[in-house]
Order: sequence, then C-alpha cells, then structure tokens
Amino acid sequence: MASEAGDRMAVLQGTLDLIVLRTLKTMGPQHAYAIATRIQLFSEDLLHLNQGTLYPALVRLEQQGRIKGTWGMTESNREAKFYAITKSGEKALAEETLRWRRMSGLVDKLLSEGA
Amino acid sequence: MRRFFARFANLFRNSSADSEMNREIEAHLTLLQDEFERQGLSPEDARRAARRAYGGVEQTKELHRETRSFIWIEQLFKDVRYSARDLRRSPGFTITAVAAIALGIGANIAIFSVVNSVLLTPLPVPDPDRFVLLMTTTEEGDSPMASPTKFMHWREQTGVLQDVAAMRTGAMNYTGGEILEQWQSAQVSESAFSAFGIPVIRGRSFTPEEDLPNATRVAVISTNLWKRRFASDPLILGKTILLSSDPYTIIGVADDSANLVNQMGSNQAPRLDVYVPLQIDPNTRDQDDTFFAVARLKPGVTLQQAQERLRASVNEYRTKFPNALRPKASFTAKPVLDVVLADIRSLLLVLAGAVGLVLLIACTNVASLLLVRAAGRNHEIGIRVAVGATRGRVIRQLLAESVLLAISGGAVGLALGYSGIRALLGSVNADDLPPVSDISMDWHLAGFALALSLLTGIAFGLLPALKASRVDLNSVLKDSGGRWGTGLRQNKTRAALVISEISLATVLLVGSALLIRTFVALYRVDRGFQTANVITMQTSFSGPKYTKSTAVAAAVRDGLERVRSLPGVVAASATCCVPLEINLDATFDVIGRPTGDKPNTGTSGWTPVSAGYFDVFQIPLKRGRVFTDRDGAAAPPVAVINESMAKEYWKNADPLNDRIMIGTGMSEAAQDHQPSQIIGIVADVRQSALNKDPGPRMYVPQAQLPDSISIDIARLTPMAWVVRTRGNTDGLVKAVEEQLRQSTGMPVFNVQSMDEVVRLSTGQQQFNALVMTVFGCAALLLAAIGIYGLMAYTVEQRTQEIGIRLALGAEATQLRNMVVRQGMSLALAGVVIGLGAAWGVSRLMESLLFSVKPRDPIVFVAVPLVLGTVALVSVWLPARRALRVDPAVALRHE
Repeated sequence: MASEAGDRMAVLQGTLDLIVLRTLKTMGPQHAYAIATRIQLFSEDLLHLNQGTLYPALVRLEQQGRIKGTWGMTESNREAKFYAITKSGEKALAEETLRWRRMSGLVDKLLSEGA
Repeated sequence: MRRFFARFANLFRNSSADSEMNREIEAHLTLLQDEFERQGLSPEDARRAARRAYGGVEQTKELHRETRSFIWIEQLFKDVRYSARDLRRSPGFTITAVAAIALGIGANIAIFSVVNSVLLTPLPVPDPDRFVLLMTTTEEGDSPMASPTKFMHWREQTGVLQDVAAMRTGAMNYTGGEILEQWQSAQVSESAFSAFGIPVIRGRSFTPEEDLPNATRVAVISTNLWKRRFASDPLILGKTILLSSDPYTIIGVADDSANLVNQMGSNQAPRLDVYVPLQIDPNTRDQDDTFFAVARLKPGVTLQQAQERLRASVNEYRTKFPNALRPKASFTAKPVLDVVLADIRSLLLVLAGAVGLVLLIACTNVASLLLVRAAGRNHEIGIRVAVGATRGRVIRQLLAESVLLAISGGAVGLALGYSGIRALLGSVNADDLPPVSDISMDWHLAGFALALSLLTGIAFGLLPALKASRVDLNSVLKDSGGRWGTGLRQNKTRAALVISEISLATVLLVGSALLIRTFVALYRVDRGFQTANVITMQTSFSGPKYTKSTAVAAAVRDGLERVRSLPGVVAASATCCVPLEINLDATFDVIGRPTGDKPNTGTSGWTPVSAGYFDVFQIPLKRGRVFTDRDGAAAPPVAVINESMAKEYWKNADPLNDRIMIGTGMSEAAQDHQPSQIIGIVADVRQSALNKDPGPRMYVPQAQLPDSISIDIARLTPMAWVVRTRGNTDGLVKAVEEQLRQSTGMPVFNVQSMDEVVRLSTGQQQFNALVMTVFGCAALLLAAIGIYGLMAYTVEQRTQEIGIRLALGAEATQLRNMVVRQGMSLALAGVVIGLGAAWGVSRLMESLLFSVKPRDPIVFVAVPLVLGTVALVSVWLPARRALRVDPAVALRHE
C-alpha cells in the first residue's frame, strides 16, 4: 500500500541519505542498481527495501547538490545514471556521520542504563 | 535554497523531468533483469522478478514526483482542472450544490451588508465612541431632551466634556424666491459643527458672537440646497435670503454627508437644507426641554468618569435652579451610537442568527450531496490509490472539488446577495432603518464572502474527503460498485444531516411565523381611528407673525373653513400630532384632589387639536361633547379625555365634574396653563405606535394653548392638516392643497394619506417579517432538497433489493409505504428536535413580537404541519419510483 511505503520512507529517509552518501564515498561513482545491491549485501538483508525507494533519496540528494548524476554505460554495456559524491556531499557526510555517532552513542547509553 | 530553485524550476519542466525519471527507472529495471537472467531465469520471468524486486513502479514515481518539485502547486492546478472537468460531467449535482451554497451565502451577504453598515460601520461622525448624547435620567426613564439652562450647565463641565452642542430640527419657510418653499432647518449652537464634524466646504460656520441672542442673522446652507436652489452660485456667500420673513446672510456651505443631525430630530425628515444659530442666552433661565444636546468626551476622559462628573454636578444645577428637576432626576451621558442602535440591536442579532442557520443548512446539504458523490466514487478512488495516489493526495483532490464548488457558489451568492440588498432596501422605507451611513456592498463584504465560501468549502469538504480516502482497497476493487452492504454507515451520516437540516429549518420557520403573525396582528389591532379616505399635509407656522396661539388658531380656522367648503370634504381639522407620527406627554393634576407622595396626579398622552378632529378620524364620543370652534382663546379652558384615562383616574367619580391642571412641574412655559374643565370622554386611540397600548390621553383645543407652548410645539413640528373626504381622496388632494396655500400664504408639503402613515409606521415589522420569511422559505427549500436527495438515493441504492422483494411477491405499494415511512420518520425526528430548540430560543425574539407569545400555540402547530407536508412531498416523489421498479431489470441492476 502506498501509505505503508510512505511510512517506511519517513523512517528511513534520514538514514538512507547517510547510507547512500557513505556508499558513494567508499565505492566511488555508482549507478542506483549497484548502490541498492551494495546496501542489501551490507545490511545482510536486515534492511529490506524495495530498490525503487532509492530514487526519491537520489533525486533529493542531487537537488541538494550533495551528489551529481551523469549518464554513462555499465560494464555490461547498459545505459545507467552514475552518481558521484560532491564536495558539499562529503561535508554533509562528515557532519551527518558525527551527528549519527553522537545519536547512536546516546541511544546505546540510554538502552544499556535501562537494562 | 538551492533545492528551492531546483523544485521551482521543475515546475516548468515537468514533462522532461518525468521522462528523465522513466529513463532512470527503466535503466534500473534492465540491470535487475540482467541479474535475474544471469541467475538462469527466462527473459519474461526475469522481467517480472525485476519489477517485484523494484517494488511498485507507479508508487515510486508518485513519491519521486512529490520530492521533485512544489508538487502541491502543480497538483493544485491539476486537481482544479480535474475537478472542473468532473463537475461539468455531473451538472445535476453541480447545479444543486452551487445553488445551495449560493442561497446560503447570498442571504448571508444581504444581511451582512446591513449588519456591516449598521453595527460595524460607525456613525458618520469622527470618533463615534467619544460622541455622547447628554440626557436627563428620571424614575420613568432617560430623556434626551435638553433645556437652555441644562445646556449652559453642561457647557461648564469642561473637565470631562468639550464641544457641547445643542441642536433642534424644524422647518422654515423660504419666502424670498418666486416659489414658496419649505426648508428643513436645524437650529444649532456654534459648537455643533465641530461636535458633529460637519465640514464647511465654502465660507465658515458660526462665530460664538453670532450664536448670542439678537446677533445678526446668519445661515449656513447645505450643498444640496446650494446646487438645487442657487445653481451652485460661486458668489453665494454674503447673499441675503428671507426665511420665515426674517433676513439671513449666507456665510457658508456645509457638506451633506453628515446627515446624522437631521435624523436625530425626527425620523422622517428629508435632508437638511439650512443651519441657523440657536442663539441661547448664556444667562438664560429658560427650562423648557426643546432640543437635543451632544458633546465629545475630553481626551483622556473615560465615559464612566464623564457620567460620574455629570451625576455629581446635578447638585450645583439644583442650587441654581431649585425647581427645575424632579426630586430623583439626574444627568448622564450615553454614546450616541448606543442610543441609535438600542432598538435595532436585537433585530440584527436575530437576523444574524437566522442567516447563520440558513448557511448551516446549505452547508449540511452540500456535505450530504458530497457524501453521496464520494460513495459513488469509492471505486474510482480505490483505483487512484492503487496506482500510487497517497491519502493526502486523494483528500486534496476531493477538497479541491468542494472548494471549487464553494467558490462558484460564493460568486453566484455574491450576485444574489447584491440584488438581495436592492430588493430588501426597496421593500422598506429607508427611514425605518437606522440613520447610519448608506447601506451598500463594499470590499469588506466581498472579502467576507470569499472567506465564507472557502471556509464552507473546507468545512463541508473535509468530512466526506476523510471518509472517502479511508477506503479498503481490496473490498473496493473486488466490489463491483457496492450495491449491497456498503453505504449503511454513510446513510446514517446522511440521515443525521437531513435530521439536523429539518430541525434548523423548523427553528427558522417558527421565527418567521411569529414575525408574520406579529405583522398581521399589527394590522388587525383596533387602532381606534379610521384611516380610509383621510389625507394629511403640513404647514409650518413659523416667523414673527405666529408667536401667539390666537394668530395660529385664526390662520388654522381660515384654512379649515376654506377646505370644509370644498365639495367632497366631510370633515377637516388640524393638529400638531398625527397619530403614529408624533406623541407628546404631559403631567396633569385633578383640581382639589391631593396627589399623595407623587408630584402629580399622573402623566398622560397630550394632543392639542382643533375642532373637527374626532370627526376626521371617526373617534367615537362616549360621553359629554367634543370641541367646537367656540372653544377659543377667550372661552373657558376645556379638555377631552379618553376612556383609559377616565378608567384609571376616576374609578369612583365622574370626570365630567372635574377640572384638571396640565403641565405642573414640567417646563416654565407649561406653568402658563389654566385649569381645564373636562367636557367629554372619547374612545381610545393608538397614538404612538400600533404595537403600544393606547394608555391615558387628553385632548385640548389648539386655540387655548398658552402662547409659549404654541411656540415650543411649532419648533418641534409643523402643523398637520387632517381632512376626511367622501370616497377616494385622490381627486381632492390638489384642491385642498391649493385652498390651504391661498389662505395661509405658506407652502404646504408632506402630503400623505393616513393609510400611508400606517404603512410607514409598520415598516420595521414588515421588514422583519419579510426577511425572516425569505430565510424560512430558503431553509424549507434546502431541507426539502436534502430529504428528497437522501430518499431518492436510498431508493436508487436499493433497487436490486426492491426488485427481489417484488419478485418474491411483495406488494409494490407496501414497498412505497416502507420508503415513505423511513423518510417521514427522519422528518419527524427533525421537526421534534427543531420544535424543542425553537421552544428554547424563540424567547430571544420577544422584543420583536406584538400580541403573539414567543411560544404561540398556533405557530407551534402550523410549522410542523407545513414542514410535514413539504417533507411528505419530497419523500413521496422518490418513493413512487419504488413502485415503478421492474423486477427483471432490477435484478440485473448494477
């Protein structure tokens, strides 16, 4: 259902941006399919998402100027849009990583205290 | 910021952005498909697997679109376009809904403009909050009348008041031109121009010196008179004119827009023509209340402080003028606006309440229509959600539709309201409405209408939109359209809406029925005088020639003799005070009877008349005799009283044996009265208004009035001639006018039949009844549409069921009765609730009613009958359709 997809997006949105930026930073320019595959591999299917949900994130990041997409050919000689992280994207990644670490540290602390 | 521009730019290149997105999704799917093929799937299976892995393609697109640009602007255009197309496709629904809203909003606008002009727009004076009327409070109520001594006293209260001004309206005869003319005049103190804020556009207003007794006579004329009589002569200033035989020098031209001055004097006077100085002597001892006094609060002084100071100042006034005030009398100040609006406020509140109800019914109706429509669209909405529309999007679409409806309804309503105002104002005499600024449409009003239509749109669009968007996809998509099962809950909502519509309509109808009964009662009430074939006209006896009662009486007698000699004239008389136009009161004391702890025997109505008065109005003489021409100044003073007075004050005695002293303790002029012998008792007459009981009244011969009283009355009102003719008055009006003009050498004006006087006096009640009836009918119509719509829909929805029942052998009439029963039970519930509500709130209308109780049994029986009949018709029509159901067709009915 559309509304469910919307709910999941809302939860994922902040983290998804971070994951995409991180992936592009480590792996260099990638197309959406490669990014999706990589996320799935990496998350060991814990983070199950329809590959299509990546698009809004990519479009948003591109609009924010954090990544830049250019059309190119894959190794299998297919047409695809390759996304690369930009300067401002790297800066955002650094800030977001810091924020995320602080946040997860805080949550960790809270959870372990509670137990 | 950058994102903002990107989104903004995307608004304009949507189609290219869309194809870019398609290309990217396609590329992604291809890569996925390649992967699955590598895993050994066939191309078709790989393609399907790719789509599955990707998730909902259309949903992604929709999500994507929403992040991409100011989607809501884009969607708004789309929604509006779509809605417009959709509404065009169902003209029946659209027209009904627009008509319902237009009716509600139109009525609102018409009433709002009246309320706006009357309540929200201040008086045509600067700073109306600080503009007060100076009044004398007594045990019997507050009086706005002021005397020269009071005026001088108030003018000294400089700590709290400024611009204390006096004003008296009347008529002056312009005798300088070729044609005799009657001018509406105001005698004002020099301060009036600043107090009322009357702009003088040429020349100047009066100086304090010109406002002193025996100063040179100067006049300020109105713009209207300047244009009409003097052809806008640029050299008008300094010209001398003859007014009531005295020469006046024109020193200024005043703007006409401040016609408040005019309206405070008498309620039927046309615009003012001329202002002359009142010339009150600063050392006056004149205590006759003959004018109004107004003032402005000093800056920084509150109304309360001013009132306290005035109350405290009464003692100083008493020291100076020991017997001028009654023992418990005091002074106060009231905002002029409050005084002006006092009578009309409850009416406006009732009207505003009524109009709110009509709007509510209109909205309910449209909400109900939208519910049906939304129910019919479940399928469509289900499909839209399935292909990726979010819930918000669906709601937005439905809201766009209702807002579009509301705005079109609002536009039609605006036009309706505009013509409604014309009709409303055309139906009543403008004099019946308060003297505030002109009533017209303005931009506030257009804004109000727009806000109202938007609010209505959102209010009645939201409920169905929320409901419709919460669809259960599976059931909707599987269901062929929901003939069975669905709709029960919706019909419950609709049933509740219909019940509330009917109950609101009941309340309104009760209100209008009460006002109609009031209006009818006013015409049926025993007036005590006969109006048919009676005409009235006026002459102003002012100027140096008419300072003595005898002179006035002689002129009146001459005029009447000439009129009586006309063939066709049955009777003729003259009076200051035509019934339903002016009412004067006076104190009286029965000679030789102690007053006890009261200052006088009593206070009663008081009407000076000349001989023949009782014949003209055919007021029956009960005992004794009425006045003749022999009851003149030289004859012993006499008086005639009415039955109420005889009953109230002579319980065990014969009034014809008594003499009364009139005016004791009133004004200085009144002390010139001599005791009058009571010579007759006549039947009661409703003098002040048809909805006021006659009360005690005494009549005195005009010729026997003390001179000072004659002058006071002439200042207050012109002399009215009253003439009874044999048969229709039309043919004689010109002849009577001509005779009076020749005999008095003065202009005759304000010709009216007595029937017209009665009609004018009931203008307010007529207006009330008319407006409420319009509202009541609108409400009835809307409620009928509502119940008809629901029942028609129910029958339509149950066609299949009815078909099965018919096929199984049910009687058609039985089915029809079932539908009728259902519809009528809704109507009954609505009527009962409505009657209960009306029982509670009709008391609010009490001040508008006459001879009808707020819980009038006739109204409370008649209204349910009318509503029941209308409801029955609206239920019967759709129920008949159940009769015509063909089982064979119905069973296949989708």
